[in-house]
Amino acid sequence: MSVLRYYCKDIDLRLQIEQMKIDFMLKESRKHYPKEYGGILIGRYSIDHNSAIITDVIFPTKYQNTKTSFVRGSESLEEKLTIEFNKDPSIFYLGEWHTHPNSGTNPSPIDKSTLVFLADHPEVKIENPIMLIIGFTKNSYECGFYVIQDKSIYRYDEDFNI
Amino acid sequence: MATDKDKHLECVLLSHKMTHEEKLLKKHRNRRTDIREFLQKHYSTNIHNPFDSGSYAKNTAVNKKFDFDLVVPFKRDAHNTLKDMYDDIYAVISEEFQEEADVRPQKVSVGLVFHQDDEGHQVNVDVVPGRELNQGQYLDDRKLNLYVRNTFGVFEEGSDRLRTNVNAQIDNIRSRMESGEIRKMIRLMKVWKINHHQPLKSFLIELITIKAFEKEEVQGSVWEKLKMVLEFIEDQIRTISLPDPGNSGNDVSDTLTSIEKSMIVQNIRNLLDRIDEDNEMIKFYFPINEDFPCEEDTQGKYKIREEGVIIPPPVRFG
Repeated sequence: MSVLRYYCKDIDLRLQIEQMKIDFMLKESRKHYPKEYGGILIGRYSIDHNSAIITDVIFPTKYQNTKTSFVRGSESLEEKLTIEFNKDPSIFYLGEWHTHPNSGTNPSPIDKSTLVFLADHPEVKIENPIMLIIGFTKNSYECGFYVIQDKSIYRYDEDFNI
Repeated sequence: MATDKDKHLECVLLSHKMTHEEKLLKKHRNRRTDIREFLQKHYSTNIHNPFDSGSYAKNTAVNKKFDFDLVVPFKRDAHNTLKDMYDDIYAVISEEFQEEADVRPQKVSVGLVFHQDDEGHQVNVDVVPGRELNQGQYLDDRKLNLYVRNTFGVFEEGSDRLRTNVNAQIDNIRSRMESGEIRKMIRLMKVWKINHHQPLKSFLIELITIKAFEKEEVQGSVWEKLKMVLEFIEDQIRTISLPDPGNSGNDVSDTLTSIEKSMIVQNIRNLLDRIDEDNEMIKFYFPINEDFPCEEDTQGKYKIREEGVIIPPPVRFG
């Protein structure tokens, strides 16, 4: 089992995710090529809250997508999250992921404002939602992980020190 | 906005953390080493190895007011009487350190208050002389007789009743505070003691708080636990026996007179009633150390506003 580790030096936050989860998101996303696709990230925080451990992803039941946009609905999410929460109460919503087909992993202005919107939303009880952007072409892909703190958005770097 | 008592108390604990005073701690350690080395050189084979005791050794110290304790175990035949032992070490320390510190006799120790340095730091070290019960016995039982210089609770002046095993005291307190919750309560009690000049010895606070956790179901939030400890002390302090883990023949509650005990009961009742009437009063009884205001530590931590299932709203990405 290959685990990818990321570190955001600016605000000393870490995250980890299994390679197979990335592969899974990529595989599903390719089915929607050349349109964008996405969903939510679930998992837990380490005991000291320094690290986010992404354990799984959830695909939305309802969504709208084009080559340059992705709108995730919230229908059935409650049901799916409750099922996960009941299986393991330490699991909760950690953030969002979406793709940039034929493009890079830099967040667009809409991506940035959506992350701010999520962090401020009263129903979102985490203060630091994570956003994963998977930029991909036919033969390659790249992951960009971002997190928000106090309305500023920071990017994680792959952590090779562990 | 109403004061969140738990949040405030957590902040009180943070602001009184010893790590805030790393520089001052280092100065204390250095001074203590100087004193230890001087005494070892001076008394040579007449003493066993001096060792550290006190709150810092037991991890129950608060940064607002602290000192370091150094116990000096004398051999039985080093002096004729306990008074001779005490007077001798007092004279020796005074002669050596009088230029740089105020040396003063205390209840069972010799206090050294070093003059304030350029950074405004003042180092306090208490030297506690003790004498082994019989020649060479200390190495086996670690027991020491302390000289009680002036009236100490119900202990009479000149009494040699204060026989104890300081090593056992430290080990006992440390081992019984593994949970960290008891340590928190002890540190909060010390904050109250220091700010409201309560006559409670730190050692008594430690023992009675441990007892409260043994006797009562101390559960709930920080405030709920602290309240239960305070109520336990209020109910029990007049009659409770607190055997010294270093010598069960010593009752540490005897370090308080009955008048002092009654005063403490009354002060605790006032404290509980005032906080019950107005949450804000918790700030008066348990103040934050303003030298180290409690800034929420957001660095390096993901934050959750509330536990439970989070249903994210619909979102748009581009």
